[in-house]
Amino acid sequence: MKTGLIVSAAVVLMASCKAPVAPDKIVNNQASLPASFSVNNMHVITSSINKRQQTMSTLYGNRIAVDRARSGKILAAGEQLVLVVWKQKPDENWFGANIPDKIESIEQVSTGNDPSAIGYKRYEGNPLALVSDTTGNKQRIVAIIAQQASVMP
Amino acid sequence: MKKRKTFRDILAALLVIFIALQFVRPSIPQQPVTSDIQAPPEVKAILRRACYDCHSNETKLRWFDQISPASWRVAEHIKSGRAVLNFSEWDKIAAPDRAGKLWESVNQAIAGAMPLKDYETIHREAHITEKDLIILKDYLNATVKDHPGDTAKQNAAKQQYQNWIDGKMNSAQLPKTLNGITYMPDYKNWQAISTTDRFDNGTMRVIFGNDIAVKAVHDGKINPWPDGTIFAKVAWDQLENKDGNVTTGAFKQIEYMIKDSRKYADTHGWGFARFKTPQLIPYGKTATFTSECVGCHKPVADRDFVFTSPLKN
Ligand code: HEC
Ligand code: HEC
Repeated sequence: MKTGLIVSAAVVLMASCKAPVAPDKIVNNQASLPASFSVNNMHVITSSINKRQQTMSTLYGNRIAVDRARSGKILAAGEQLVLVVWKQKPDENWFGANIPDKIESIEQVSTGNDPSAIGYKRYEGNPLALVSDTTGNKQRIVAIIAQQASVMP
Repeated sequence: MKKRKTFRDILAALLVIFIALQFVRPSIPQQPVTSDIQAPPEVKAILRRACYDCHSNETKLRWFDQISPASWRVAEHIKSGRAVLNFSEWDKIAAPDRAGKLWESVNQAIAGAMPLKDYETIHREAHITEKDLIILKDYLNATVKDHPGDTAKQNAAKQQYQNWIDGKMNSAQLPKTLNGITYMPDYKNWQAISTTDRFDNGTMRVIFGNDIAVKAVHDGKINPWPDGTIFAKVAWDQLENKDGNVTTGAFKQIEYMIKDSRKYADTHGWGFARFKTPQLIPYGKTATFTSECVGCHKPVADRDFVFTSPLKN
């Protein structure tokens, strides 16, 4: 009985002051972009999910691309777009949510001085490597530049 | 000899006080069950066993719950428990919010935050087992339905988008919540630190962090997050097409968390704010709406009350 009470008291104490989680356990390293693919000078245009493939993606753009997309216009000169696709995983902290897991692919679309001169690159794998097969590139470019900006009042 | 007598007197006095205390028991209001939650019997059985003492009008107190002064704490739990969630008055929760309360309930149980620990140690029968969790999760998972090609949602999204790109959403004055937080339109030019697919309520979100937040992620100083950190979380409807492709639909709401350990000491160092619909209507009938935010974020207290696992981008 007495030990029971002591154990109970200990359990209550432990439950009420859990030790803080270490920061490197909080960062989602698995889903983070390698430094050479950093998007830290870009902003979010939109995000999407594929329920069948269980992937999620975010489309980033440089200033020109973001301003263009947020005003509903068509591709302009000097744009840089990056589409990152992640595999999804369940959120450990919330039953009812999925969050990004490993990176599946990174695609880069860019325009030069002439907006109709469109560059495209696709990287896959771990470590990410340039995909040399160009079949399907056209459809991918069309699909990426057609993405509408998410409404952000 | 004398010492012994004083000791006996004190004991006697304490006993008298203890007995007297038993006559000043807190009253636990008897309220009728107006609309008990509808759920399969196996789910209901778990809720009844583990939650109903504090979250229903069918409180069943054991003899040891009724001894003062412990009974005061029990009464307090029941009072505040019923106030935030009452399975006996389920209809009082707006229909669209009921599912949300259930997901929150199961999440509180998964995190071990509910039932309250001090209660659970005395009421062992209230313990939520792994098997209970499977039953609860299976039940909720079965309520998740995909709605490809939802035309009402598509139309709402189309209209909003048009208004937005036409610049019709810019209000002259920035709205402010009752706890004094003003809408910050520049969140859209912050970095995205993560995204979520909330299949529990059919929304998808982007979580933005300001420069201080992004730097903290890079420096690995995120527990606690430094003062000046701001998060903005935006939620949209999920718009699904026939191929399972989901894009962002109508803008639902934006939420902020602002770190200022002194100014917001009462809410664990975070200032909470929510603005709903493109009209950006401040959420909360009184400034204490923040207790809702804190309540649901409490299970991640060991991560400075932040759910998101940020990406280093
Ligand atoms: C001993 C009383 C007690 C029991 C048993 C109990 N709760 Fe609670 N619950 C409370 C109190 C008090 C609060 C409000 C403040 C807090 O979080 O401490 C609360 C809050 C909540 C909240 C809202 C969180 C918030 O603060 O906004 C949810 C959801 C919840 N409980 C679910 C459950 C579930 C599910 C069970 C059973 C598995 C359960 N509770 C069992 C007392 C209890
Ligand atoms: C029912 C539970 C619940 C309630 C209530 C709640 N939140 Fe959250 N909040 C979450 C979850 C889960 C996340 C993780 C991101 C996601 O999946 O949407 C989150 C994330 C956030 C974030 C991003 C930072 C983080 O913690 O990950 C902000 C900002 C936020 N919430 C603000 C608020 C505000 C403001 C309120 C109150 C008006 C509130 N929340 C109420 C569950 C809740």
